[in-house]
Amino acid sequence: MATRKKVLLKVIILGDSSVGKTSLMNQYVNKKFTNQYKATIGADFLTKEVMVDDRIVTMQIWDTAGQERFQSLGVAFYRGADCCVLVFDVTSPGSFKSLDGWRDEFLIQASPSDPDHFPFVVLGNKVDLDNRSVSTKRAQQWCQSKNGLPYFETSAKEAVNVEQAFKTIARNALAQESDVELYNEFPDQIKLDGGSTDNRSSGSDNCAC
Amino acid sequence: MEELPVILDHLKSTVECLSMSAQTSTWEVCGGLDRLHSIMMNIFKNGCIAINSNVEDVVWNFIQGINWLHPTTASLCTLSRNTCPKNENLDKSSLWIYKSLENHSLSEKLGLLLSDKDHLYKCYKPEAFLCQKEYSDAALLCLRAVELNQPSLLLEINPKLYLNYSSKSEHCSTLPKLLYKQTHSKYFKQLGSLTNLLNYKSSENINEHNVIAGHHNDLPKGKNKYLCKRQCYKSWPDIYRSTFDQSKLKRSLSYDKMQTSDNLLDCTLQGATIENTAQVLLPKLLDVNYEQLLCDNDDSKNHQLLNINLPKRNKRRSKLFTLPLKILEESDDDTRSNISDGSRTLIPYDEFPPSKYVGTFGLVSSYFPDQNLFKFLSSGQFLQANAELDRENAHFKISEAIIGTIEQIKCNQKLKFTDEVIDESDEEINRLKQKIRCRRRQKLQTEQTPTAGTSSSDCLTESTMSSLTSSYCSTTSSMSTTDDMDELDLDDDSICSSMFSVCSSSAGSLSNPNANRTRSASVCSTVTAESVARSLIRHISLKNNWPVDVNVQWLISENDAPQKILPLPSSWPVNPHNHVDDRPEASSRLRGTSDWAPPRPQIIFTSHPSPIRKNIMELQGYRCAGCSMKVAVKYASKFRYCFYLGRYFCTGCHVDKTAIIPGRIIEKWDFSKYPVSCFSFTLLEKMLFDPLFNITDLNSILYKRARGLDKVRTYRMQLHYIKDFIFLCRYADRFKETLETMDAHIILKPDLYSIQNLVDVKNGELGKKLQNLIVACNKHIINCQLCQARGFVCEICNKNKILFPWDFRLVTRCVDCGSCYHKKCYDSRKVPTCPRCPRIMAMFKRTEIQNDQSTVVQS
Repeated sequence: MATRKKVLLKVIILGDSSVGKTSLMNQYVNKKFTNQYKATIGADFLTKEVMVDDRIVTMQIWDTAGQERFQSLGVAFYRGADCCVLVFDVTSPGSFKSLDGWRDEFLIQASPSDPDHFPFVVLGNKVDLDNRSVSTKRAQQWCQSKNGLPYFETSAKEAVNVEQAFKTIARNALAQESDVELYNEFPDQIKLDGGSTDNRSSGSDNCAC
Repeated sequence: MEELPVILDHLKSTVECLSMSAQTSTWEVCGGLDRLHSIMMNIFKNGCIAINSNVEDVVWNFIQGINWLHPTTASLCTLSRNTCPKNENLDKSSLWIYKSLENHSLSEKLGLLLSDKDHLYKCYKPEAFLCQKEYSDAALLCLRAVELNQPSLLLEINPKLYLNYSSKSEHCSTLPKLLYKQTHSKYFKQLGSLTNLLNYKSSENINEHNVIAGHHNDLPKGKNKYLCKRQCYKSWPDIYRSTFDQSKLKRSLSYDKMQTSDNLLDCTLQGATIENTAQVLLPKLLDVNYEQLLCDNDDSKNHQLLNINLPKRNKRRSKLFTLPLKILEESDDDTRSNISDGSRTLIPYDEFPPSKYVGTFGLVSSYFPDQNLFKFLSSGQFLQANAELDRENAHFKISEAIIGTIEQIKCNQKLKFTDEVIDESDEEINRLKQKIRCRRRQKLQTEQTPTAGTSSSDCLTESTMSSLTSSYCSTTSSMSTTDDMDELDLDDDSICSSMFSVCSSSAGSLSNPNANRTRSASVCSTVTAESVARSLIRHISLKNNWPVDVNVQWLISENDAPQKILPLPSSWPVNPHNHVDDRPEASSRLRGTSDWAPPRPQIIFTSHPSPIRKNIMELQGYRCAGCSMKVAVKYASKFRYCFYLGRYFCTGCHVDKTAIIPGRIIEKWDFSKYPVSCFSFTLLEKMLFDPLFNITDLNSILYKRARGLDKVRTYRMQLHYIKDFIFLCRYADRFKETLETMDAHIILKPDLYSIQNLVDVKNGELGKKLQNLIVACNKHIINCQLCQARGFVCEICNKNKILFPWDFRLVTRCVDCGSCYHKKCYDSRKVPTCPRCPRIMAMFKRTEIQNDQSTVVQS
């Protein structure tokens, strides 16, 4: 049954610094890639509308800072997430080993109602590079040990598997979402482009400036 | 666009003359006011959107904006046509400008007018002078320099704004006078009509003006502050901008270099705080050579400019901020590279390799090879040297520069001349040439006599000038006697005569031809060495038609002259108070003997115990602390006590000016004004806006004693957290702008205060301002999805309420990881530790170990 309901899916991308979280998001949303590295400070999001099984779904993808250096900002956005994407760099074993830590951190901060079945998706990024040091098998084993998390090997640079990975993310998030609640309207939703800011300031923000 | 530099240069040179003369008479009698008025009129008219080609109306419309922008200021300046002596010549707007200039309020009003961009663009084209931020700010600075009588403000103007045009023109026109005539002859005409009325005005209003002039020094606070706020250079937000900046790497590199120069200050400051806690009875003097540090700082900053894109405008204030800020910044390496953004570009030195001005000392020390003499003289670095002693040193450097240049010019000429001689070896022709030259010289001399005035005025001029120019006279004369350079017209006569005309021109450039000669002569005594040097070169070149834009070739470079060989005093300055503190290895660049040393620019954080005249005078050896004048014991009672330095001064060095003493604020929250010496007065005035006082370190009890201060501290702490959210939020641009109007240290370093800040705390202004800011920012954060998402959730109670670190009543923040918890939740834990810290530690340890392993494997 095709419903006309619009759904907002909140997706959080986590992982060590410089594994390519921002690049993955940019590749998926804007179809762009840059080789220049800029550390993300403070989480920010992009939105993208996608069709999942006849439903129009708005994905709100939160890109986070991999370094824990900047401590003045919090992670309240973990709350209410529908899916968590754990990213590691296939050329960096350290970033792979950190996945446990990121997963635990997420579960504590987001405190989902059913932590055991919360949808995580694991992405091994930078497969375009030659000096690979985390094997597919090893990654898959880890995913298996965590209740069989879906695993994708991607390259944000060459747009390998990015589309497919996010499709799965959306589908898994939607499954989680429909279990909990469905929205009819999103009056407060912020869209990134166009008149979004007007929307926001027309609300309860009565500031005179 | 091309005329903007001309206008600015014009304005600046006028202001320069006005403020250098330091005489009230130039303002009202000699036409300074009128000239300034015509320039300002020109600025107001530049690029305005004329309706029906009626420029005046548009300008008037623009000015009318003040009525609704700031009604109180507007009401102060209601036009009273009756009092204006030349109302018939002036339209409304021009009259308004005239009046504003007259009562020293134009900078404030113009600042207000400019602050409203909408209004500005309604009246002016975007390319207009007033619409160009750099230019309008420069103009404001000029006005302010006049109003506050602080020529040093002119230094803050980026020379690129006006140098451009003068370098474009051929060498002759580097002489502003010439250009002035060429491009502005029409203003002269206009001026002529004004000057006719001048005498009338001057006789009538002279009393009134004197009163106004007397008030220069206790300038209206509001005006002063407003301007400062406006010009506050945005040296922050730090991370937020530069992390997105690709040049960050470069910046942090140069920052490392800068730090070395900061270490010095760091040490001394730390020393001071330690000393403070040690509760010594004697007032502690922190021997920070203020100027020196600024200068060092400056040098490295100039160096840094090579790496980062040039800031458009210079701001002295922000430069000063960087001083104390960086000390505390060292631990925080994320933010460090950015504080230094507010560097200034006083001198267009970018073309020089960095090594040239790294590691130079002193106020007047920068030697730059291949630098144009004019650039060197007008670079303004001498004006910084406000300590009299350094000014003295400046004279030597300047004379050396001049001698070097003249020698070079002579050499060039000689080379040319010998060529000519070879060509024309005929004796007859040479003799004829000689004759022609003699004639020319005689003619010149006769021409000069009227300009130099009567013989009596010559004497006068000479005597007043002697202190400044004697060195030049002697050097130039000795120079010209050693060689027979008659052919080149470079003899005693020509130089001396040009010297006189220099004198009379620099003084008389503003003076009415009828103005009293003696007056203009005494003006000379305050003309600075570099201005004399500049006009000297100018005149010599004019007379002889020499190119003066040759580069300075130092006869002896500083590197070639080891400082030890120079006759520096073998003894070092001794502070009579600190006789215990003997450090023989610490050589000093300041002069002085064991009897007396000139006062140094010190930042004194403590107040002095109530003075016992006899004891202190004995310590001082019955000498004035300012000029070392000896006084007989029985007349010691005539000496005046300086509450800042804690010494007695003669009545010449201490004219009973009063000032707020920072030490008294810090110790007793005492804001009353106390008599201080002239030296202290200037020093205190200079550091009025510098965030030098860390109340937590100096006297944290003050927070308990002064409730207003405690409140402000809370506000500033809150703002310190809020700024991270605001500056990272892409929806908060307008709040970013509001935050940026605050001085950088207010938000970045909550414990640092300038004297002005403390005054504002006392009168409640700062508290009110901060409170409003916080309320506005909070409103945004509550309604902003992004800011909300960046808040914290208490993971102890796991409630969905979002916490922010600045909610001090409810929230506790972990100092290590920055996570926020409910105060109640955190306190109720059995082990009062942050639950998140161990997790983060574990994660980082893991990655560190892994990184180590991987590097081992790779190697």
